[in-house]
Amino acid sequence: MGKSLAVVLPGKSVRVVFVEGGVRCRQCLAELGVLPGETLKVIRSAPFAGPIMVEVNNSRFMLGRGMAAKIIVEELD
Amino acid sequence: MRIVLVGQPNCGKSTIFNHLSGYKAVASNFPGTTVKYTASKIYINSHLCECIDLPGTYSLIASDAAEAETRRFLLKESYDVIINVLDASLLGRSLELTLELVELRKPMLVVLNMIDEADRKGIEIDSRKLSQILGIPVVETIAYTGQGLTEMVRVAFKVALEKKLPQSLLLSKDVENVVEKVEGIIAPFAEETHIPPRFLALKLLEKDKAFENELGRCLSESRKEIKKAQAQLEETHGRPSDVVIASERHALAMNIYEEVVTIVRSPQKDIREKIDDVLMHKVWGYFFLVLIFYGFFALVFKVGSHIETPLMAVFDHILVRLGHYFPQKGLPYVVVEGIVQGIAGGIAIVLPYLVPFLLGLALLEDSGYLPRVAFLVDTFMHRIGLHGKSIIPFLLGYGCSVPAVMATRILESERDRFITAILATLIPCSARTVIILGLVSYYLGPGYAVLVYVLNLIVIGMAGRLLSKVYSEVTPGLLLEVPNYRIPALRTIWFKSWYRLKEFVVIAWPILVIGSVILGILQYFHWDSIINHLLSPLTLLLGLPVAVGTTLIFGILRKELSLIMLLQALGTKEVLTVMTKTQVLTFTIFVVFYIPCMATIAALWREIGLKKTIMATVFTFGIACLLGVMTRFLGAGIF
Repeated sequence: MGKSLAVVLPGKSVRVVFVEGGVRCRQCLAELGVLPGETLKVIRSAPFAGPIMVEVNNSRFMLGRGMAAKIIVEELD
Repeated sequence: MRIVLVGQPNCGKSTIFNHLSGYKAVASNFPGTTVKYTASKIYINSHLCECIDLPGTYSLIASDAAEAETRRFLLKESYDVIINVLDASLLGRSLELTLELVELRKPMLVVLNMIDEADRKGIEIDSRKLSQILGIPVVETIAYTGQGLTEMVRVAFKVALEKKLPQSLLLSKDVENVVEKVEGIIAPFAEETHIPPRFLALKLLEKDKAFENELGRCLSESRKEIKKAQAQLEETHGRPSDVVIASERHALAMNIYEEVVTIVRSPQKDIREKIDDVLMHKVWGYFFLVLIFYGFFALVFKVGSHIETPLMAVFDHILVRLGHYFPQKGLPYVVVEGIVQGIAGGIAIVLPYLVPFLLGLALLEDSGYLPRVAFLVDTFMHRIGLHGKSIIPFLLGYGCSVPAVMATRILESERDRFITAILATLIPCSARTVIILGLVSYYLGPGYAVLVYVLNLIVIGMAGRLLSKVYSEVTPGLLLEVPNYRIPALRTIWFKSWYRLKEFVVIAWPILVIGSVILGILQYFHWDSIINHLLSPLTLLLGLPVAVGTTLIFGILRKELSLIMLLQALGTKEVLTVMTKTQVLTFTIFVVFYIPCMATIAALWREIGLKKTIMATVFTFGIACLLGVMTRFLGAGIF
């Protein structure tokens, strides 16, 4: 079952199923390694529906909630 | 010979560049420090070469203005060798850019920078194998210590002379077939534009907007065929064609990574993660954010005021002595007095605050803290219609508005760039900090200085809301890499501060001295009263002494001139004897907000165009008048 990355709790690892949204958004995320099949780990999230910090391939970046909502993932145990 | 440094953001290109050129570019620890290219002449084996530091880019599909600059340069300009700088600790992802650069068919070498950081993460790289796979030399470096850079330059020179090209690496068979087909379609266009056909074909399959538009203008027929090719990929892979190409390249990069990397041990859990647990904490994060910035400004003020007072006394003494040499106080006296006052203003008023300020700012930039601030404030930035990344231009604005305006290039949408640029000019830059600290804090107390800063933030918030209402487009949202914390190298801190300070010493200071002399002469012949008279509607509105009119004109040249000219125009260093506290506060607030200085106007013009620059000027002037009048009447109640 897919769900949006925006609702994943910190500490969880997920696999990307697909990225919704326009070409631009997909390209920006692909550059950082967010592609279908890749594993992400949510490290922390900012309060007040702020951004989340994600780890992928040893690098970390922050991602606004709006963008995170467009990434559909499945949780790994 | 032209050498270009290309790499992903924050991989250390500018640090390498500075090592080669002697300090010529600003390097920091956050992605996107370099937003336009910097060139410098260097000597290699006694050959004169030009070295170019391009803005960092994750890929050759440009998603912001700084990346577009890199791409434009790589495609349109001529150069002899590409030095592709990689962050060795992020090898897998960094290789993806390398795979794109390979398609440019230019002599090239790969530099594995921050090899020590990779080591810390337990990553061992077989650079000989990597060199075999890519067909080009690979050099290991540690830029901030300079290790490996001599070797890098030597190899770059050799590669350029031998015109050693990298080899293209192939994708899956079926994808290659489609790429080949597209290459055939666009061959005439590729020849005309001198872009390698394979590179162009791959970018078109990735739905690169810029190329699609360019091609559409030249060959509208072939556009349809390219759409067909994209559809073919989509059908066989069940994904959009841009994702197919990106995934293929990603898989290729990962394969190379697996081949050349040995994980010797699991990464050490280091203290830096613990620091983030505190500095990015839901509650403590904000507490430390306020504490760090409050501490920063408090320290600058403390250092500054301790130095200002004794220095002022020295110059007052000199001026009194000077009076004895020119008993008749004629024109020569006026000129000499102007020169001394100009020099005094620089040494006693500006430098005591500017030097600690710039050192502190450099320290903050290099530590890697700034992107964390973007994380913490993203939500609040959304309230004013922007997102967290805009905080970086804002924070740079506390140093100088010019780099702040230029830093807006790291933003993706034109609207965000425009709003951020206008708001960033409202942030008190170091020159205005000098005015706030040297005038309000010095004469009224530090509490009032804090008040000015808080008021400034509130006004920026309100102006942001207003602008985002007028330009109600949705911001694309935050996407920003988090760099590791680094202990700033004293050498870089020193060089960076000096680089910025030089701007004051060699440009502003001479203007200050000349301006001071001109003002003296104007006063001697009573011409200043004409300017003051012309500006009297404004000064009357603000309830300021008419004599400050000229200083406001000088302030447009350089903001710090307002303060120093003020002292000269009033004819005393004891401001409170001729101005009330309300007037001091009104003057400061007006100067903080009104029209950006000349240099900033020029930067704005370049970044957002003439029309919007004029708009920004009128907008900030309006805000300044409004706040000035408010201060005038509120101040009357307070003091």
